[in-house]
Amino acid sequence: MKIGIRKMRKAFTLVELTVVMMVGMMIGSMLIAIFNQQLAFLRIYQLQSFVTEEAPMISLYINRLIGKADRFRLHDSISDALSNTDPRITASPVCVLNFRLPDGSMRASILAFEDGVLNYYVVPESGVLGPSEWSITQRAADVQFYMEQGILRTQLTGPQGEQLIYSGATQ
Amino acid sequence: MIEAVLAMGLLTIIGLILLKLSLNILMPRQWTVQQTITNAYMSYERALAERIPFENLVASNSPWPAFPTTNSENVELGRLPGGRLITGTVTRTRMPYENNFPIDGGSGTIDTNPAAMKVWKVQSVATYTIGGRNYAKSRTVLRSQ
Repeated sequence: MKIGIRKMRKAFTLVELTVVMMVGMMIGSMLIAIFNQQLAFLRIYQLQSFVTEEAPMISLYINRLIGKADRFRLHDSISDALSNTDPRITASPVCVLNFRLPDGSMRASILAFEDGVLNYYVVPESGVLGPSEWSITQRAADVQFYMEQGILRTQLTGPQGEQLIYSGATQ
Repeated sequence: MIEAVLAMGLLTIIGLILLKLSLNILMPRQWTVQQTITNAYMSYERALAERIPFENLVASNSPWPAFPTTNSENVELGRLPGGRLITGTVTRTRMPYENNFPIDGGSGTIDTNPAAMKVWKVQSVATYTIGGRNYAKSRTVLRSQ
């Protein structure tokens, strides 16, 4: 009988068990809170990634291309650009850049936003356009080229509604 | 019980350290976002200052009037992630090179400036407010004729 009472005293009381469970739950909740905090920051990083990582590279490519070009034209489609029909100065998804070569001849390239991708094409001398040379970005929601006071402006809209407008003058 | 308190204390400290580390990364990224967007706008000021014909630049209705006169304009600089618009004010002015002739704002003479060069520093300053903080950014282009 004495042995049985001793054994019962070694066990947890109901209050002790309750306290232990509450402490355990608190520790679990804190772990979940820390995990959620990290997830929240990762979401914020993800939201900012277009402007912080993608946009500077796009800016670098576009500004160098436009800065080296001798003239440009805006069109609504690549077919219009290739046939040199309906040039425009309003917002357009296609921009033709012309470069003068050392021998005095001209070569053309095309920046075109099509199906969510900003592509760069070099127009061959045959005039038949092959696959794009580069995909400058696949993350932009919209890219429009337009002209303002003689300046070629590139309006870049990101997946989160962020908007940047690059401007550049040709040579 | 002591172990449980130690565990909670340790978790609290770990949580605070992680929060601080995350903020340390987040703050420069937010700064980068602002810089990227406003730098993009300032490329317009630079391009326009480089492209505008010289006679328009020094005309009486120039977008860059001669200092101390300035020309201010409210502009849209861009949009932050989430579509929040950043607006600001662009103040434009131009300053003469000291060797310009007096008629062009300088103190040069035919001896110091025999080619009658006209040189102007064309400056645009964009000011904007984000999160209660005021920022200013400038671009200066040298034009001569």
